[in-house]
Amino acid sequence: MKFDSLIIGGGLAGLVCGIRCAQAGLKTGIVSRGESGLAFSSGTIDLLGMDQQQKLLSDPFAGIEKLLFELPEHPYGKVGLTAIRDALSWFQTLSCEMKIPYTHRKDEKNQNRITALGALRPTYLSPATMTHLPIAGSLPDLRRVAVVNIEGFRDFQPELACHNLKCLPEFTDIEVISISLKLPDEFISNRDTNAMRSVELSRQLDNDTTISLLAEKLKIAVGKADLVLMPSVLSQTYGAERLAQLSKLSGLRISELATLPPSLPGLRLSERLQQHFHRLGGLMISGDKVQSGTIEQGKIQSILTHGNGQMALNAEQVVLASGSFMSGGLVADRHCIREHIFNLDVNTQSPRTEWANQKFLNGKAHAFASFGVVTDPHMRAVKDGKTIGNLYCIGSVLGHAQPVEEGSAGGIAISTGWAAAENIIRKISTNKENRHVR
Amino acid sequence: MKTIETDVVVIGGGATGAGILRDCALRGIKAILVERDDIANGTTGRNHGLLHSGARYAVTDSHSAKECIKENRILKNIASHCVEKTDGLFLTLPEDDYSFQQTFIQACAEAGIETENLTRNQALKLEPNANPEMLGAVRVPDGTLDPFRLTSANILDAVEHGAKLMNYTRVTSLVIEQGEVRGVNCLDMKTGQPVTLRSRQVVNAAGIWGQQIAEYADLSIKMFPAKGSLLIMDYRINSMVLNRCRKPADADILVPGDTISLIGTTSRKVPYEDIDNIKVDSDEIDILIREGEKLAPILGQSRVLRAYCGVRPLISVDGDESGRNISRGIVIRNHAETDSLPGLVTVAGGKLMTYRLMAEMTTDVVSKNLELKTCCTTAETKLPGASPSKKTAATSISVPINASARYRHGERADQFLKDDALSKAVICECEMITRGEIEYAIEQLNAHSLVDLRRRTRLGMGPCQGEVCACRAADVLQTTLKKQGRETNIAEDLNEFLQSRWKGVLPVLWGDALREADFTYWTYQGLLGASSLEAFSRTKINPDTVSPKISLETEV
Repeated sequence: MKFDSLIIGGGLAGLVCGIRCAQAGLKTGIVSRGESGLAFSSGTIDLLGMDQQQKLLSDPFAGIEKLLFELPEHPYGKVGLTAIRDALSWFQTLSCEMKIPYTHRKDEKNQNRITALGALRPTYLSPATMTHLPIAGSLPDLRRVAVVNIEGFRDFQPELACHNLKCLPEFTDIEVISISLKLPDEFISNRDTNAMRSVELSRQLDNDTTISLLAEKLKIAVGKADLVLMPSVLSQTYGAERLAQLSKLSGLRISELATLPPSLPGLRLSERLQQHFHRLGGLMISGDKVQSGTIEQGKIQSILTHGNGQMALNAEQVVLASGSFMSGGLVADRHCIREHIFNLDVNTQSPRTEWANQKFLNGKAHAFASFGVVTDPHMRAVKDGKTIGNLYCIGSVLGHAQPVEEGSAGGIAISTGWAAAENIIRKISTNKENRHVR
Repeated sequence: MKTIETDVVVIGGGATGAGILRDCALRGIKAILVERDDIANGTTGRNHGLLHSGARYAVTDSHSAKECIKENRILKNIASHCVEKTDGLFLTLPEDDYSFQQTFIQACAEAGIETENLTRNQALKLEPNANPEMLGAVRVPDGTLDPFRLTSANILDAVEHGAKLMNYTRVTSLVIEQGEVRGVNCLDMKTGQPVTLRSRQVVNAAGIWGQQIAEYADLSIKMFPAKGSLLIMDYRINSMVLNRCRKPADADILVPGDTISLIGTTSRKVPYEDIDNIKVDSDEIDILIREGEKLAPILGQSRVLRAYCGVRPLISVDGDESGRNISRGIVIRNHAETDSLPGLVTVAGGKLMTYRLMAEMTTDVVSKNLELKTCCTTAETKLPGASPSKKTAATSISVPINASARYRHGERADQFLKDDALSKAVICECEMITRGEIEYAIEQLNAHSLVDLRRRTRLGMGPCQGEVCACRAADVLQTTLKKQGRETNIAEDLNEFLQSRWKGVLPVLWGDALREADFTYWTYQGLLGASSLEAFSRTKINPDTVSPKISLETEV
């Protein structure tokens, strides 16, 4: 099989890159092993939430400008501020086309996402199903907040969230209550909610009758509340529509919280992106993984996958979007870090004792999270010190970022995915023109 | 200040302390156990969990070997739910001296330990993952012993016979009146409140920490701490205990247990001041893997789940401070006789394997001091959980849930294996722990925190290391404690639990362990913002603003 561009990895970065390439009319394929990091993401898009000194950023763009100066090798440095803005606005347009609109605050500032644990995390773009708090300035008028769960659903803990919310200075004068709603057995196909994860539960709730019943129960249990926080379990595909329906019927303002994995807001975005990619004529090779590639004359000549071992995949341009350790893009041996497929150059030789902090969670970034491949200024991979001319690296396989602590994973995925696609589009159209001339 | 009267105060919640508490209770002596942390949190919970047959000591220390085989047979009867009768193999590898095998078999026979000499093929049939290059193997009645469940079962039996456990209670000084020890002054670690326990006898069973207790009475008991490190493999790669047939050395025991296997141990001297801050060194890990691969070559390709270390409480007898007369045996000092200080008895040395014997010997001294003529019955009386169940499980309870619960709690699982949806909800999928089991551990087994729950139930000990179950269990803990009117800062608790899981992963952070950690990091910090837990731990919530949970049961 021959492609103009072939992308390894079907997470946010890979899908963004694939869609952009397909939009430009390139024959595009994505090889995807399975669920990506989106399956346990918040569903919002973080851009840059913290600066290098672990200080909360209100203005992400000002933060990026400073970051590019302090840490030029950061993935954002390969994209540049203007292109980052272009990528984000392209993504927002795309999200409207996909009918899952992502918006930012009018003032283009970060906002605080309320997490299922009852903590706050800075984020930038958000789907319509979530209510966020402003980072600076006055809070919306909240006097009573209800945290509501479906009784038996294990992957959301309303009491724990309540306890933690009450610890937040932002919630000092707010009454926070926790409520558990019991659904009659016949509404959940006589099944046990204690045995369901978010996806299964959403299949039970995703119908008009159950939503109406939930609305009735909610009205009685909550009474008056300025905000209702619920786990994201209403529907995998039509989350926004169901939430709006529930809000309307109950007369309450409801915001969904991404639960312990699998997280529906993330899966929802993944699903829409994949559909859109299909619609544009892209080929998704799912459930397969790239095993190796032949590199000759400084270029990837062909790619072999596990499921298609006999027939090589050929592509003019290849994109590596295989993710970090969790997704298997990076592998840690006992004494070194390596890139899994091509054995590309990585940004660390440090000994194992320096890979992580003694404390697991204290807001300080672990070194391993910043490990990744090194690239040339155009995001092309480097192996043994030499650039591979037709291999781009995007998303969290890139080194030098701290996606978790900085709050930059989504922004990096979108901007590097988009920028690599733009490079590829330009290159392929130039090549084609040259061929015509000849 | 709060004062409690009793006959005996036992200091130290390890297996020995728990055994003494039980022994006292069964003899009708009123007793209270104080422990500064949780039960089985010291040396007891940080070793192999090996039910020795005594074979390991047969050549070098026949006295210990005889003690071991005797206790081995007793524990198989009284603590059957804490024991797996796996048997063990002593492998002779090409690099070992083959003639040692005969010496070994001879010494085992002298100690009364049955052996069976196996050819290489016979041994591989029994244990296919054993090193196929072995020259031969000897089968002995080794087994596995779960130290957490053993300690907990001793406490449970003691409490059911009128004794009392006070965990998270630290001894701050001894009450000494007219040259006699008459109790202990303590601090409740949860509330910060002082409490005095007055008693006729105080037993110092604090293991390596017993040196500090003795210092409260200006006595010198010199401990020689030796650190031992171990690795937990993510799979049960062997079904029998594997040993090397040679004199005991580093990393030559591979023990299966529950869902995992354990390789250990190293042995390194550490200064006494460092005993609360010991860490696994990265070169120890290399040694453990290198040597472990020799017992079972598959170990080198298996995921290492965690690393941990404990301190062996080696004690110097006769006050010798040079360390030459270090004993690995049981040392009991009746300070009334040795130091003219009535009211205090110290027990030290020994091993997990002989905890019951140590308890018996110590309680004998205590009884004598109290001028009681009571006999020890712990060698015959089964621990709670070791008796056959009279009930059959409800058919709606799945086989893995039922089997895991019974494996851990024996017939006591009847108390929580109930047929309602909430109590059979699975909280930890790695270890099949239900909500009912967690509630039971909080209500009946003195678990106060998520880390305690780990020791009672294996919560978070499986492949995901708490990634899925931590928040779920926190919810159960919070709800159950609230029902009992007990207070807890759940944010602090969750944070400590996640950190305690991390501590064991950190030394082995490569391969799948790093992959899992990356996943946990993205989920807990990226998705949930869990670094805020630290700040939440310090925040005191005004109870006035805490409103009750509303549960809507009424039908619309």
